[in-house]
Amino acid sequence: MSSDILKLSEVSRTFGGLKAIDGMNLSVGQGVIFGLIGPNGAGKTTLINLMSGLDAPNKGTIAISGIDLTGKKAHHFARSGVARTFQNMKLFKGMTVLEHVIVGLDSERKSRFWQMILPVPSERKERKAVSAKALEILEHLGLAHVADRIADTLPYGSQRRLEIARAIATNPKILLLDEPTAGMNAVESVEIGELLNVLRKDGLSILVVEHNIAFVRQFCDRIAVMNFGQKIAEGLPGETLDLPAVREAYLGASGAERLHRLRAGRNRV
Amino acid sequence: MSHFWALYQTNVEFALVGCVFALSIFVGLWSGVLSVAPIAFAAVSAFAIARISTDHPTWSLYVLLIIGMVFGAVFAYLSSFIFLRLSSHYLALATIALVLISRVFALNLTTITGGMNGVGLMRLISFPQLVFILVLLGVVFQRLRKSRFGLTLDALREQPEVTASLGVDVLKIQRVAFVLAGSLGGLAGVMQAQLLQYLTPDSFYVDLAFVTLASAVLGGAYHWFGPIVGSLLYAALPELLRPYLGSSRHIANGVLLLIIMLFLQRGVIDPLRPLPFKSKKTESVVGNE
Amino acid sequence: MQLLLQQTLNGLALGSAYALFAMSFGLVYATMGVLSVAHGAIATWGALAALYVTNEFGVPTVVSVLAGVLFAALLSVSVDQIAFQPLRKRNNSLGYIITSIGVWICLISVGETVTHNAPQTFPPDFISVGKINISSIYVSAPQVWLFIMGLMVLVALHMSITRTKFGASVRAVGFSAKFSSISGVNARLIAIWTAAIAGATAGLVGVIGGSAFDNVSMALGEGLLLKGFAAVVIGGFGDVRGTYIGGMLIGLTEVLGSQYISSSFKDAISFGLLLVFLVFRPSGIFKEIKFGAAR
Repeated sequence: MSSDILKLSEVSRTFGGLKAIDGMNLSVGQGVIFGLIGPNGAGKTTLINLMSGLDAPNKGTIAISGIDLTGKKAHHFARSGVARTFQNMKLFKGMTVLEHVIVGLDSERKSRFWQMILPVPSERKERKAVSAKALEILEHLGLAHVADRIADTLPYGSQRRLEIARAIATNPKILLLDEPTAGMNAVESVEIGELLNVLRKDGLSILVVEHNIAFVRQFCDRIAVMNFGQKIAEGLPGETLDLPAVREAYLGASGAERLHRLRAGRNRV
Repeated sequence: MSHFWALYQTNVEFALVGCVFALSIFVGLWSGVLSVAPIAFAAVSAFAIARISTDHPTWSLYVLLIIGMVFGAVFAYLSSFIFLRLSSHYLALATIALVLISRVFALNLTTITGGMNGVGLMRLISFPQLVFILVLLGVVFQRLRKSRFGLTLDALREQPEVTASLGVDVLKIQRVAFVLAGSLGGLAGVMQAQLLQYLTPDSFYVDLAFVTLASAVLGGAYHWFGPIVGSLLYAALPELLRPYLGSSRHIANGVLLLIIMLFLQRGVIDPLRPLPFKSKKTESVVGNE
Repeated sequence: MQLLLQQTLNGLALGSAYALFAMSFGLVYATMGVLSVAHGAIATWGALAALYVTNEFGVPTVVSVLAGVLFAALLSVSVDQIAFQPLRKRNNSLGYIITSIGVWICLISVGETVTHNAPQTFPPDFISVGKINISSIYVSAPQVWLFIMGLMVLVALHMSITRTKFGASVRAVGFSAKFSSISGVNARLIAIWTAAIAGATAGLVGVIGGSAFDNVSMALGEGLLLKGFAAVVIGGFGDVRGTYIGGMLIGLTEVLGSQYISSSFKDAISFGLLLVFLVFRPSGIFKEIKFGAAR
């Protein structure tokens, strides 16, 4: 469908002898919260790297809003509307919360190098405008009150929020989140989920890699399940999560079998 | 005081030019690139200016300085296409190789460089002018620090992948930094030539490259003031210890560098280590500079 | 023709010196990931130690050479443990270069004082008398020794790295210090042994080279360092055989180039090739498995 914001076609990624991603087909439409789950090592982070241009596939194509970006560098993906967060949260050491978002707004800035050396008014004007816009974004995400704090002094949940704020500063069409609720309790996870709903209302599409099944059930419109670099299931969260193939992926064949027997009411395992 | 000056004027002057060299290396480090290429560009500018100022003795110092910076910038721009595509480790080694080759050129382009015999030139620069140039550079760097360029470089150095994923063309900004470093190298080359008044192929060689790199890292490669402190410290320390160590006094610099690398890896001047009078937390980006 | 033969022999001797140094330099680089600009100074200090022992105690040459080699080995281990060992936990490969600059400054400044900044020479009868003369082609004894030592060290290193348990440990540590310790390899001990062997070889080339070129000064070490570095890049550092060939190549092109093109051009080929290889083929002529890069 040409209305797809993100479309992967037959994407494969091989590292030496290892096929990390194998013939992946994936589409994310406008305004959808799409969940991506799978056991560790399934290739989810590799896939996000491919979708954000930090890595390039060996086979297949990746298109953003219908435009083929396969093989292009990360900043091309960003300028075409892809934003992402990272599994090991990567904040800028020593920078304030506001400065993080300002860096995110860089692609919008127009000032040239010579304007930065000479004390011209246009540069100062731009700086004020960028700071104001950054503050707006922080307000939208509930972080305005800590704008001048050094980012690594914030509590963990706020740091995750900041990462998201920084990412959406690029004014993306799709946001790729790599385990945004990792290390969070149920309450904090729901807060993130509600944030995603707000962002979705703003028109954003979101692809979220998660291990938190409850979160995925509650907030995702659609999910895909990965294992060994392949997509093994896709559909609505409720029905997809109950598929035997999915349970097998997480628990192993014997584990899935045991679960089935348990559910069927037998006490013997 | 005048006695001090008579003894140490030369040292101070060379130390000030050393600051400019160190700043050129710093710019590279700021963009995440370890490069001693500015030393090679300094050589190019120095020999060019020696030639030019001899042929045109009426040209003012500032004209010569600007020509030097242009030479540095142009050569840096051209070579950036070769060097910036290398991964960080090989890039560093390749810039060392560039300095090695620059000496071969200096040795063989005898019409410009005088070959083994070298070339002389008139000194036009005065001590106040040296200080003025350094102060000017300080102002420029302070402006850059919180500018779009500076902030993006800080981010790039910390997290290159993140910065790319935010839409920053990393290669382009590194090229800008490389050219800036090159022009600073060109500037330092002209200034050094003025002080030496006599250039040989050994004037800008790997020993200068290593010493400059050491000064920059020692002083702190995370703030523009660091390389200045580093260079001044590097020049001053052996002189302070001259009565005790005599001709081996330079060992103090080696020991100092080792101590810094072991205990204060980010150097003497580190914006993350709070100064007694100014805490980083109160510094804000909004319109303060 | 005779000139060509003479210069070829000279080139082989010089190349052996470069090869010896490059092998020791490359050993540390390939296994420990340490690029030490101080290594050249270690070679000179080995020569200085041998010189001291000869002049002070008048012992047989073999003893002096051994003294030089041992001194260099000890110096290398000390440098490694004081300057580089603390950095190993930090996982910052570029930090090694800068720390080694600190060591280099120390070694150079004391060395220049000791030598009064003038080249020293070994006594003329240091390494056996006279030159071998085959139809008026001259080869000095130290030159022969350089060549022999070059081959011997090549064989010894290659055999021990590929055939012995120690060599396997060295390669394992070079690949990953963390994982090799899981299999019971004491990474720190390996580092010490590697530094010792590298230092000893550097000392060896310092002594014999210093005697062959009639020049014991800090410049000797620096010359070895720069050419050795070029040899390691061009020949490849993963395999000592490649490094050896790289060193021989540089020695030959330097002498022959100096003779047939121009003496001021002799460095052009070595350093020009160095840059070309760094840009286009950093793994060297002999593309081998790169380890030490997994840091």
